[in-house]
This record gives sequence, C-alpha cells and structure tokens, in this order.
Amino acid sequence: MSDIALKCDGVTVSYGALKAIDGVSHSFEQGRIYGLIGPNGAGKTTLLNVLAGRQMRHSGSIHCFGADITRTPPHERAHLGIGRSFQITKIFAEMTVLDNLRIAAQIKHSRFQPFWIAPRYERRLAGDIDAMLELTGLTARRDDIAGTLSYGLQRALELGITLMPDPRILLLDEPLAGVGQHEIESSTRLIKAVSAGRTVLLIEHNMDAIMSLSEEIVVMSNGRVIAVGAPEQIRNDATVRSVYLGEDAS
Amino acid sequence: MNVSRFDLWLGLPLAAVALLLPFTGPSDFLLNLATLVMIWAIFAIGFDFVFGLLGMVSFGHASFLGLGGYALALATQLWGLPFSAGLGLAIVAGALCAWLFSFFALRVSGIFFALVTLALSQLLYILADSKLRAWTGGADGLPGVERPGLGGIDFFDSTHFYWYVVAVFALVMAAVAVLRRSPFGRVIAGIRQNETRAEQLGFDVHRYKQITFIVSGAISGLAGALLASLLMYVNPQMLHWTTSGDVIIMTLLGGAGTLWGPVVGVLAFEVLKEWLSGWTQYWYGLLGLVFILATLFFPKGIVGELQERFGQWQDKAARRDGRSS
Repeated sequence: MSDIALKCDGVTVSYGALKAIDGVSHSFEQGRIYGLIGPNGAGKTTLLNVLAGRQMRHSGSIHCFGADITRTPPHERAHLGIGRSFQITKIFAEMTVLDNLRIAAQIKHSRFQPFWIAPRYERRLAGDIDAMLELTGLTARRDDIAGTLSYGLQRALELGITLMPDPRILLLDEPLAGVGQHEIESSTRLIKAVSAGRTVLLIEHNMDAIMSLSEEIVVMSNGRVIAVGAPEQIRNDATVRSVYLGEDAS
Repeated sequence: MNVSRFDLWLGLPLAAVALLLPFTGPSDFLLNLATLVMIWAIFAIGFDFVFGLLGMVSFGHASFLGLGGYALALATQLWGLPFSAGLGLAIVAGALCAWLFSFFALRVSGIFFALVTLALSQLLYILADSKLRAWTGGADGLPGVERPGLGGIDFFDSTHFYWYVVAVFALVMAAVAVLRRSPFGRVIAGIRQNETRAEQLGFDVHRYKQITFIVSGAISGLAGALLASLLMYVNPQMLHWTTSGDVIIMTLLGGAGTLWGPVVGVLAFEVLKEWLSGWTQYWYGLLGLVFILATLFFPKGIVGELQERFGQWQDKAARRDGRSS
C-alpha cells in the first residue's frame, strides 16, 4: 500500500472564467493531520468537494491509496475510506440521534439493507452506536430529534455520523463553525482524539484550533496552494501573513 | 415509538370497520364503494412510496396502474391464464414500467422529475388509445375482465370479492408497515431528509431511488389489476394523467409519508365525491375547493395533522407523569 493517502494532480475547477481551484497538486501522507487555511473563496471547500467526489467536473486526477478515483462517484469513495463532514451541518434532521447513527452504522455493516424487520442485524449495530454515542457525548440525547439539538451538538452528531463507517481519510469542513465558545475546547479535543491513526484534512477558521490540531498547514489563496509547512513555520511566513492574516508584509 | 402506537391507534378502528361492514347488511353499492376505496388505497400507498417516503412528485403513476389493469385483462382473456397468474403479471408489468421510467426520470429531480414522468405516462396513454388499439381496445377499452377464481368461490358476488380485496389490502399494509420500519426503509427516509449525507456515507442513492420506484410501480400494478377486476373493465382512462393527479390529491389530503395517510385520503376523497356528485354535477370543482382549503389548514394532511397532535399529547402526558413521579 502506498503511504500517500490522497493525491491530487493538476486539479482545476472552473466556473466559467472563474477558477475556483487552479492547478492544485498535492500529496497527503497517510496518518497525518493537514490544516487547510486561506481567505474566503480560496477554494478550500471546493478542494474537499473534489476529493470527496461531490465536484466531478474538474481537470487533473485524484488518487486514493494509489488507486485512480478521478471518476469514482462519492458513494464508492466512501467505501474506499473517505469520510466527509460539511460546513453546513448535514444530518438527518427529522430523525432521532439514535437513528442518525443507526443509518451510518448500517453502511458499515452491510451494503445490502434488509427490507424486513431484522432484530439480529439491529443488535449487531447496537454496539457501534453505543460506542459512538459515548465518544460524541450524546448518550443522554439519544432519543432527541436531531434537528432540535443545539448547533454544537449537531456538529458532534455529524462528526459521529462521519466517523461511524471508520473512514481512513477524514475531510472535515469547519467542524468548529458555529460551535459556542464554551464548547470549542471539548470539540477540539474530540477532533484530536478521532484523528489518531487517520489522514485528516481540516478546514477551520479558528486559528488556535487549527494550529494546535494540524501537523502540516496548507495555505490556499485564489485557488492555488501558496505555502505548505509546519504550523509555526506558516505562522511566521511573510506571504501567508500578508495574504491570509491581512497584515502588511513589511 | 410514538408514531407506531399512533399507527395502531388509527389502524384498529379502520380495520374494525372494514371487518364488520359485510355483517351490517350493506347494499351492493356500499360494498363496491368500500372495495373501490381499498383498491385505490393500495394504489395511493404504492404512490406514497415515491411521493411521501422519497419526497419525489411522480406525475406518471397512472401508467403503472393502467398497465396492471391491462396485464390482467390480456393475461386472462388473450392468453387464458388463471387470475392469480394475471395478478402476478400485473405486478411485474407495473414494476417493469417503473424500471423503464426510472432510467429517464431519475436523471432529474424536483419539477423535472414530475414533468418527465408526466410525459412518459401520457405517451403510454396515447399509445394505448390509438396505436395499440388491437391490444387495448382503444378508447372502448376491454370489457369482461376476470374476477378471481379460488376454490370454487363466486367472486362475482360483491361480498366475496370484498373479502378478497380486504385480504390483499391487509397483506399490502403489513408489508408496507414492515418495510417502513426496516433498515431499508430507514435509508429511504434518510435519503429524503438529506441526500448528500446519505450519499457521502456510501449509500448508492440512485440505486435506492430506483428500487423504491420499482416497488412503488409493482404495488400500483397490483392495484390496477384489482381495479380492472372490480369494474370488470379496463380502458385508457386508467392511464390518463388525471388518474395520476387524483392519487396526488388523495395522498396529500390524507397525509403524505404517513402509514395511514394515503388510505384516509382515498376514503375522504371517494366519500366526498359520492356525496358531492349526488348533489351537483360540478362536484369536481367543489372537491378542488376542499383540497385547497385542506392544504391551507392541514398542510400535513388529515393523518399528518392527527399524528402531530397525538405526539404533542403523548409528550405532555409523559411530562406530567415525569413530574408526578
């Protein structure tokens, strides 16, 4: 197995004359946590969409553990081990927390879903669901309708859903966005815990969080990767400071 | 778990009425009306698979219903097959037609899905009405459609046929109730609520939609065969878009996406129709008015509204118990 988890080669996404991503080539090594930063419109979310298969209209190629997945649809990429959370929470809002995790557990256990009531199958799911409730701290809210949870808890649930199939690669789009101040610390700890042993691409505007979580920072601007390096290196990079932090380079 | 208790609470009286009706010495007219309601209810339940569970408006379900009717008529009259084989063929015809439609219709969503299904079903209607006259009898239709033949029972008797339809209806209801609570049903509900999430989890959303559409077509085909058998007649009107329109109205009236909604919707529609049409020839217009008022005041349909009230009442009861203990 290749120790490159994800690799993009000359990926360009154009909307008419606008290039959302402009010739991005980068390899993401297995088991490392990457922080993706850059100003709004830099192309960070578009890049995650390309990697997850939501944005299929692009030039260039995508490889996952050495296999070409450029034309692989999103649900197949999920089976290759790519998990994705979204900037705007995507959960099954009208279902209970339990059922949200149950659906996620179903895809982990079987590609075939019985269309009869299957108590044995449900029991096999139960262990995974309980573990995930515990991990995300949602055990007490298991019977609540997901859409009625606080935003921070919804983000925790989304992370739980994303993690359930045990993805090798995690694409997290602003997991802390909208999370209340008092929940940031626990959420950061949760992300740190679940990142262990996985390749993680993390978009986040909370600088403290992303600098402490990431092992490597990828800086994007105007659809291009303009700098790559360790967090402390990026913090002191003059170009990055001018582009991203809005400071004068001088 | 509230919802399933609600389903029981609503289903038991309906079942009781259905089971006791033949013992009250009803007229043939009333029995036939009740049979018609159950058959249309089967159709509406099949339709609601796509409409309520998947959240897609199909304007082409008349095709599956009509094909089911023609399949039974042709199987028994032209090929001399027994009724049960004809019924099986009707189910297959509905499923096959839905499968074919899905290749075109599932490429698009929203209003375009409705338009593609409408166009395909009108195409079938026009074919049945003109080009395929040799098979379908054209606008005259095919008279003399069979009734079931089972153990020497005379199903031309309204009461006997009523019991036959009650049995089929109960089977369909049970199957649907199970499917809705099954792991497959949960995924379908998930796709309706958040397609992107379901897809990103690894569910082949297109395939799930296709299967649901096919099951929906199969149930509609079954309903079509029963309808042709009840009327002992099938004509292209069953394939017409107004039939698709009626089933949408019925389902919305009763409550899309609920177990009993389509059934109650059909019941309300047919009873209102009988009542209003005995009163004025403009009954369809009045029915439209009722429908508009219902969507304004019960946007979730009769059953949807009741279900919500029931849930609130249960929550309140639970909270009260919680405080007292």
